[in-house]
Amino acid sequence: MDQSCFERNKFISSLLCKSLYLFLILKILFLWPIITDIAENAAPQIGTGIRSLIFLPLVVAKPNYQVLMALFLAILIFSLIIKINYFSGIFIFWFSLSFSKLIFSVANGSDLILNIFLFIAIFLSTTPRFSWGIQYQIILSNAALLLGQVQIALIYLLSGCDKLTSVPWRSGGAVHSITNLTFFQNPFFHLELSESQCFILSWLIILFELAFPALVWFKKFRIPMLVIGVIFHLGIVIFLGLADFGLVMILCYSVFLGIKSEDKKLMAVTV
Amino acid sequence: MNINGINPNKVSRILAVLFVLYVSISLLVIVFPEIQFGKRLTQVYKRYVSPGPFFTASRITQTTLLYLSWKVNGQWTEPINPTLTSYKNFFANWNPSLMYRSRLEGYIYETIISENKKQADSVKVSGFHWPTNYFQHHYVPSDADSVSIILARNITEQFKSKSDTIQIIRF
Repeated sequence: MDQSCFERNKFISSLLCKSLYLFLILKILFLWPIITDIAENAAPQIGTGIRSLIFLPLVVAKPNYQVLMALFLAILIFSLIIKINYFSGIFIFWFSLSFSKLIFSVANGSDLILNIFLFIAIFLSTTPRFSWGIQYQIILSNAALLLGQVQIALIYLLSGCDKLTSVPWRSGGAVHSITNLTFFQNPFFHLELSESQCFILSWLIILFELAFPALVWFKKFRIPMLVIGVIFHLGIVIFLGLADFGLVMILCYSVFLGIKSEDKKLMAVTV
Repeated sequence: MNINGINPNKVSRILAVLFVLYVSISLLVIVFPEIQFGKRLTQVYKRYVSPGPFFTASRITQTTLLYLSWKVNGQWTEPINPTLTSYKNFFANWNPSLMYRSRLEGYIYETIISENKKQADSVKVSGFHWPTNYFQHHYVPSDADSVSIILARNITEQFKSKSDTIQIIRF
């Protein structure tokens, strides 16, 4: 692997990790005002055994969840400043699991995607460097980056296939539902779509979700796919109010930045 | 340089095999969504490893609305929909805290509805489990004599919309 490829992957890894950390910081800050209501009305049930170990920060903090959030915030802010590394990556993923459990009542798919990528982020790092195993660390980091790319592709493929096999989506009825249901529409940007417009929009969404996993690997189509994806997810933010979901998906697109055709294979480092 | 005799190329090959295995299983689950690898394992896999699909038809065809009003000095107030108000105010201010509050309130009454599914008509308070504290604490003034809660469901399917009242509670 040449040095420029290594440096590029390092930059992308850092960009992804830190943007996700920043997203989490904002999420904690915006959830702070309602955390007491969440704890009183939708307290997480943790159970015993391995679950209490996985969610140990939550178990220890109970019922003072603000302490958990404050500690998590501090770790995230610190991690924004320092180089990405295995230790902060592991801590952040572990705390994020507990945080997601705490806020399950207001969570959605974005939290699942966020946690998957925080897990992948652990292996993106090559810090601290072990002199006896740096080439293995780089292999693992490359593999994690590729896994992130494949994960996004699979998310779209799964959603696209589900929509393709769904009568409401094929007929456009699903888009009509979205534009007419109260909690899926921005009152300031309400769209009145005819049946045929719903049909067309529905199929554009299906085609995008099926085309993305196929075309994003090719240089010619990569940027257009990413641009369409960003517009698609900004639409989800603006028109549907799913700000967290749209933003997480856009942030995760960074795994595709700077990808070149020769990067597609897992490469060993020649010393 | 090898560690304990392990060649980096061998590590790459092992990772590549694991990778192909992961992608193959994922594609299998996508093409055959009913496939099961053991109930618990499948649940964990579908929830944490392969999230989605998103915006499934079953999840976007209906929403539940809560209308809250109270009686003060013998007069009922105009019903308010605090959850929807928070949701709309989110768009006005782009304050995500409002978006989260709206979701929390939606969760509270959706959970209670699902727990009390058997009760289809108006119900007496004594037979109904309701977290009055939350909505009373946040929205109902302390001098209110009575509180009325109407839960309604909007359903939009195949280009047709309809509304149903699920429950009416007065106390």
